[in-house]
Amino acid sequence: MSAPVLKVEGLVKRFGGLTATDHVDFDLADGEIHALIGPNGAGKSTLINQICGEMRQDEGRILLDGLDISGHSAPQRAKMGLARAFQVPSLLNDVTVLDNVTVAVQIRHHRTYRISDSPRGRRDLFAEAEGFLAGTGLAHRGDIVVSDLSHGERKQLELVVARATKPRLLLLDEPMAGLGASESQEMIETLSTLREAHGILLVEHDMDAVFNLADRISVLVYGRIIAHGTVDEIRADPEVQRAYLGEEDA
Amino acid sequence: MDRSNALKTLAAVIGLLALVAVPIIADAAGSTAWISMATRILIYGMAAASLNFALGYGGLVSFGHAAFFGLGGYVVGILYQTYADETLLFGFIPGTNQLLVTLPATILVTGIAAAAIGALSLRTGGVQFIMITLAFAQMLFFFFSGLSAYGGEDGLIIRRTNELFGLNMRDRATLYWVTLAITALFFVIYRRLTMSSFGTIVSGLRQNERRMAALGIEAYRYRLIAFILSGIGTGIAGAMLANVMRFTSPDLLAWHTSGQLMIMVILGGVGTVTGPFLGAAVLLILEDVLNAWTENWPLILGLVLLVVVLQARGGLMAIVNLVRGNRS
Amino acid sequence: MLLIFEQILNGVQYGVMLFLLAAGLTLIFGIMQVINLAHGSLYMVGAYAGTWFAQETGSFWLGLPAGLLAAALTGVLIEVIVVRRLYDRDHLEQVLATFALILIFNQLVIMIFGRQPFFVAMPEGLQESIQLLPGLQYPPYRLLIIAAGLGVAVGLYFLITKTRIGMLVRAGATDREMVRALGVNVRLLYTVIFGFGALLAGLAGYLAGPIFAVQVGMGEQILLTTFVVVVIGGVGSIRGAFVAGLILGVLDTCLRAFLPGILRLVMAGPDADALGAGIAAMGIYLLMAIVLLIRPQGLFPAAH
Ligand SMILES: Nc1ncnc2c1ncn2[C@@H]1O[C@H](COP(=O)(O)OP(=O)(O)OP(=O)(O)O)[C@@H](O)[C@H]1O
Ligand SMILES: [Mg+2]
Repeated sequence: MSAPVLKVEGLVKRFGGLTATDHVDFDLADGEIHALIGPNGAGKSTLINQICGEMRQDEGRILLDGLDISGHSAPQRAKMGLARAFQVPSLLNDVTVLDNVTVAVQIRHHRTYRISDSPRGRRDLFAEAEGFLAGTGLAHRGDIVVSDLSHGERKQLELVVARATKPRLLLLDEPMAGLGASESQEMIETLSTLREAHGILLVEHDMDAVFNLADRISVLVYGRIIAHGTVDEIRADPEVQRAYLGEEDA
Repeated sequence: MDRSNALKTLAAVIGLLALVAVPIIADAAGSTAWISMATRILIYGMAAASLNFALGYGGLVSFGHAAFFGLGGYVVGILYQTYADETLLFGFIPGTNQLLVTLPATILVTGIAAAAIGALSLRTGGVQFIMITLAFAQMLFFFFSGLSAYGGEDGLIIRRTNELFGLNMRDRATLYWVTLAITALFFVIYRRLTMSSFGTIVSGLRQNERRMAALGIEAYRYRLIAFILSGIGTGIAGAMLANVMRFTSPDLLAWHTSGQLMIMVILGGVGTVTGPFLGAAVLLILEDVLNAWTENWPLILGLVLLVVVLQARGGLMAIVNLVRGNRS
Repeated sequence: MLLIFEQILNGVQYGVMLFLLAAGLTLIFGIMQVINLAHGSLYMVGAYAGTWFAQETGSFWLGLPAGLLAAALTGVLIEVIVVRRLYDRDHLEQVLATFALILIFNQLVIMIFGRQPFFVAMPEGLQESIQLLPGLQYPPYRLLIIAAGLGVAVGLYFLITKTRIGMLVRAGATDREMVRALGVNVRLLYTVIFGFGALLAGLAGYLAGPIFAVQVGMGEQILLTTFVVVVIGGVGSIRGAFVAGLILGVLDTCLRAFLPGILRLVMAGPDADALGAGIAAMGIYLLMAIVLLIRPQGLFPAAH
């Protein structure tokens, strides 16, 4: 495994009296899937929010390729190659599926200040966006307005949009949540092909998927990483069994 | 696809021909008042369309666009007075009565004003943004009300319309055609803008700022540019209005004017390309018709507006699209 | 010196009136998130109804409850018919719908009372100026307004901090769902709050009668100033409305009183007067811009 691209050190985020992430250390390398699991309210989304720059941490720092990006804004970090898929889909709801992907493509090409290019002049962007839709469950849904999509389709679109930015790292917040069985299976297949190109932080409740995909797993409970290791190590860890997996069985 | 494109082009050509023919038809019908009305509709349409770019596409609810409307008028007015008095503005700027100079000057002045107002206002959002844009417009309103060198509260009379290529600008029809030409040019640019890459980003920010940030977009600078473009468009309309009315006054800067432009936008359909022009036409004609019918026309206008806002979401363009959709 | 003191008192009196208007507006803003441009119309309704009744009965004091009642009823009426539909709409639609209400109310008042402004006499017993300080004569009516405003401020303070309805109001500002979960009829609560805000606006309007003329459009100029008060004070904050009301009242009054005089030192009389008036009128908006740039949520941001 190569050296970590993303390193998170001692990250603390407090909401009033609640410590949502409590000195979290975490890292992610190119080409690996690092799963982050933990019960509801453990602080998983909060961690992603801090990595993306949407929330400012109270303590600790975040390094990308050794560079401290703790002070960078969310857009800056996005331009440096961090892409995320939101837990609750957060898309451009008034426009079509294809438009959503096109915006991501267009931003990657820095085509954001042209004030008089016509749709015809933007054809290359649309074509590239189509390419990202091809082979996904949304391939024939490009013309649908997002507000008319099902929840599962929106979750899929979240991932396509994130991919369309061609990021270094993908931060995926529960990509399987709310998907049907077959959709989930498709998603697992997609993710396993994606690991070649990106490092992936995978937050997921679906244990089958996690055990299937992850190279490494970190377990977050009440804001703290209580265990860290390979799939087999985590499966065997008694503390994890007690704090987390045990709960699931009960 | 091709057929509907051809139909659209045909409709646009017919529409343009009809607009060109307005003075001829009005003359034939003996109602020259129509020409002035049509001119004003074009001008208010430009102002409302410009506001619509910030408001409908960008989601920036500016309650202060009267500032740019009025500024455009005062650029023409003050430059004309300086020209007529043969003095220098601020000691170094000569006056002028040339439209080809006053319009670029308007673009410059309203662009700078919109940059300043926008840069400050866009640091807030929501209700605060509405109020701070209103505040800046009010400041300008009171500033020009107190500027007695240029008419103060009474406003500033512009004895002659700006000149252009030696055309007879005193002739109403000529002035209408000039306005129509400017509006047509404006419309082409404005339509392009809404469909452009930049327009896509601005409208994305309206829909979901969080998503756009996650894609790498710093909202502030895009919104600022959108606000500036919007202010400039409204300013050009104000300059044309001053030329047509041969008068400008603080009324143009009053908050009622901002409200009126917003009404046109919502009446025509927020975030549509042609809606604001339709809204301007309907509002101005409605005001005119009601005014002729009863002195209590504001009451009826208020009721109509109330019903439109509460009931007809999407404005007139929604109705137009409905009709169009049924036909095809 | 005495002159300055007198102007400051005038400013406080104006500020207190702004507070009466702003208190209702900020509650409506803060709790229901509705921008109500028609708040100034309620001020006008209170002034017209009260003044009319006072003239009919010949008693200023009988006009007071009439003005309050008319404003409150009008408030409840527009809440039920119009404003209620605006709670889930965006700000643009709220602005336009309530702008339409302004047109409607202005025209209705013209139809009923005509365009002529009413000038209202000071109430019986309060016509004679009293001596506040040696050399300073001051109309007691203005002191009455100050007292009324302070009384309302104190009353509101107790209402909000000490009573059940106040608790609901505070909770409603931060958590609508919770209030609903408590089994409170939120709709009714909103109507009551709106009516109460209207009542305060009517109070301000009626009390303003003897000082400004009662005329169509009287609500609009002061409405804009009230919005400035609300925004500077912090949307939703009664305390902010009070502080900002007083600051703006004094600032505006003093600028208007003294600025032309100061300008006259450096320029010709009429020009100085016009420019002074212009800049004085700009003053409050300038202050608002400055405050918002430093504290985008206003001086006392309501807890959310
Ligand atoms: N903006 C916020 N303000 C206050 N508290 C918050 C905020 N965001 C999250 N929290 C709290 O922080 C804790 C962690 O929340 P977070 O959303 O990160 O959990 P999670 O692990 O993603 O849970 P889930 O599996 O349900 O998505 C929770 O107790 C949550 O209520
Ligand atoms: Mg989560």
